[in-house]
Amino acid sequence: MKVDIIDYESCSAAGINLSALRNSLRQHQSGLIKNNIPGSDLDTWIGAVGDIASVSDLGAWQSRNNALAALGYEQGTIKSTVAGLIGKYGAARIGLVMGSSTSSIDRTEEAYTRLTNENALTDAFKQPFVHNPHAPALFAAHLTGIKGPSLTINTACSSSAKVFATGARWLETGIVDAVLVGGVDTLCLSVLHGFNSLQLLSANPCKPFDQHRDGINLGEASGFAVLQRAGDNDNGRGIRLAGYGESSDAYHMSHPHPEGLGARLSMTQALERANLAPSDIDYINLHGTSSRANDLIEGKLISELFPDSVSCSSTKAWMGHTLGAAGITEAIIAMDTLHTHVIPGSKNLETLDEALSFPIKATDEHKVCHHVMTNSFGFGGNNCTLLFSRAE
Amino acid sequence: MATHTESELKMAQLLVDALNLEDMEAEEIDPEELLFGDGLGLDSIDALEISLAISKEYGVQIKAEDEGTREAFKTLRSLTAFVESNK
Amino acid sequence: MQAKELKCKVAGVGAWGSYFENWLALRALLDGAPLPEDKLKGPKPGIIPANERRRAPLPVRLAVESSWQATQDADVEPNTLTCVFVSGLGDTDLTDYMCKTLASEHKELSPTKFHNSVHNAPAGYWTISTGTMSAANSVAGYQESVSLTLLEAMIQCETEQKPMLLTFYDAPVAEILQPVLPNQETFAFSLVVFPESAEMNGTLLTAKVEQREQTNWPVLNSSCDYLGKLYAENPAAKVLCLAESLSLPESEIAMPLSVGTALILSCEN
Repeated sequence: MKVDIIDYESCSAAGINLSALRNSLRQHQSGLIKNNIPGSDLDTWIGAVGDIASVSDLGAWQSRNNALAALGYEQGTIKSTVAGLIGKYGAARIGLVMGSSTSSIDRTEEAYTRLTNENALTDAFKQPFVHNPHAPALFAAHLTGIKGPSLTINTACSSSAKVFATGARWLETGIVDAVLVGGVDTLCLSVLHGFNSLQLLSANPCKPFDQHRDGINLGEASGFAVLQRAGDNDNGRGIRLAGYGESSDAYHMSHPHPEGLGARLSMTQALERANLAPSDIDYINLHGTSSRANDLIEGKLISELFPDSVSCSSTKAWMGHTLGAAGITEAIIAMDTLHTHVIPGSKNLETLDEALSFPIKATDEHKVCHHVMTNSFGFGGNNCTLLFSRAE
Repeated sequence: MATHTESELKMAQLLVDALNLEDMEAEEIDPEELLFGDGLGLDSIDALEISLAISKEYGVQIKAEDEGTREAFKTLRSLTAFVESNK
Repeated sequence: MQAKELKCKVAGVGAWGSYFENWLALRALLDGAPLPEDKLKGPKPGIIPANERRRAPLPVRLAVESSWQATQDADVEPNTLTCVFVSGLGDTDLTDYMCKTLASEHKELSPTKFHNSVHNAPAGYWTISTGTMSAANSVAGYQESVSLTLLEAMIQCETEQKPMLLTFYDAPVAEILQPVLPNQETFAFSLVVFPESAEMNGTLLTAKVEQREQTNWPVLNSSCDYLGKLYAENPAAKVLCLAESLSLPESEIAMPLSVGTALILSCEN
């Protein structure tokens, strides 16, 4: 069965919406800044979304994560697209799948700084719908009025890539007529200090795949896409989810498989499902976190699996690694090249890692793309690859 | 098994506690046995956990991935010596 | 498009809780057997390599233990299964640890605890322990965790025609979070299911999504106070209504799925 992407929007440090993101990409204007998160003195760079602070009226739903989801949902035409589908099919025939890693732990962190003398939560923080891992989809259902099945996928950094696979399967069985998929993750002390404990944070703007890269920058983002069965829509964006691959490393909780076996499996699965050969792929938006391990393993795999005609880049130097929101953020950057015909260069790449040899460039490339791919790899050895094609 | 010095025994106890080594006593860690790989079987995340415990206990900072500190992490003996000389 | 009926066959079951160490013992409790005097300690699943087990927190050990039991019961190689793990509440002990540490002056986190804090830690440990390289999903559905996971896994089983492992688990909630997430019970339950076409015996499950404004979880047949508390408090234990049905010749249960839908599940033996 064929699944079309009829609308999509992205909100990150590289642009509050898709149009601003396109602009940042063209201008090579990064959204990364020196860490200024209150309560954290870590020497690193972050991709923060300044406008989150403007969303402070969520009442019992208030959290930084929910605020970023709400901000993202206001952008572009996503909200009216969903409203139109609810009008056409009924709210219970629309599904919702959100991906997140932090859910709303930012709010739980804050709650713990305001405990009573008896170590109890204060009233403003007694938010059962917020302090649980399903918070992103619970809130998004409330926000959008969607009444069909609403699920949250929490597979760390592959979360909001996997939402596309789940959404496609839901459509295939006909339990819903459209699916809003999304991803949202926000900067908070848990992830900053967590990645710091793994000695993975860079004190500089990240340099994916560079010989001198020394770690990652964290960021925050929300993103949404609307999926429908092909033929059920006027195919407004002309983009199809051609394939997906999902796999596990079976190796280590926080270190990728040294030969990238799981990542290889997710890429080959996506190609098989789409019935495409590696040489058919025009562009791959890489996971490319700028960690020593990921980039080395992913880069080697790309040179093993793909011919030199495939253009590659990591776009993490624009908004940082947005963790559970990275999957959809990069899916959107990848699928948008099917429209813009501009492949973003791999920002901050100066000297390619000496151990690597594959077609990755720092400069943009103008090329009409037909098939594009994106990789997302997460803790727990959780991998997902998405493949998008022009729906012709 | 080689005999432990007092500071090695203290370091061994730190490893047992920090890494939650199942059913293992500090005395059972051979000071000359390899900590990683084929020896005690520790891995990269354990190295980070040890770094944190050492920084809390001794105030010594160790960057787990540094070439220079790789030697220090070889055995209980080398780790103890590294910490003692950097205190 | 008309929605497909989702069908699968139950090939194996696993379970672990404070008063039952496997599916047999849980079924006995559901059938009215008296509660054992002592609470169980553990679990300590042997399938997790020692080097990983020493790092594995309770939710991981719960989920892996019951998953392992279900694969043994089904007599399948664990690494042939695609899996979906779900917890309604997540690992609140780790949430509590991280939030307490981050609220203090010294914010250094344990790297092991941090990597264990991802919601997909049980899926990660399971795949590492069993060498599973197929897809391992990890989802959350708060109070609807059970119905959403059944739906997700049965859809995957149907569309991909692959056997699946489903594991539901929730551990007692850390004290500070108890007022908002009041669960004090320990529970894990797993199912191995095969596509309907598989040549094998086993309860046939049929699921469909129905539009309904309000659905309540069905009342348990069991009158055991402990199971009643478990069912009420522990989001993963909502699967007990299905567990009861597995022993009946024929039954139909309606589970709340979302604001506007219910999952109608029928079981045939």
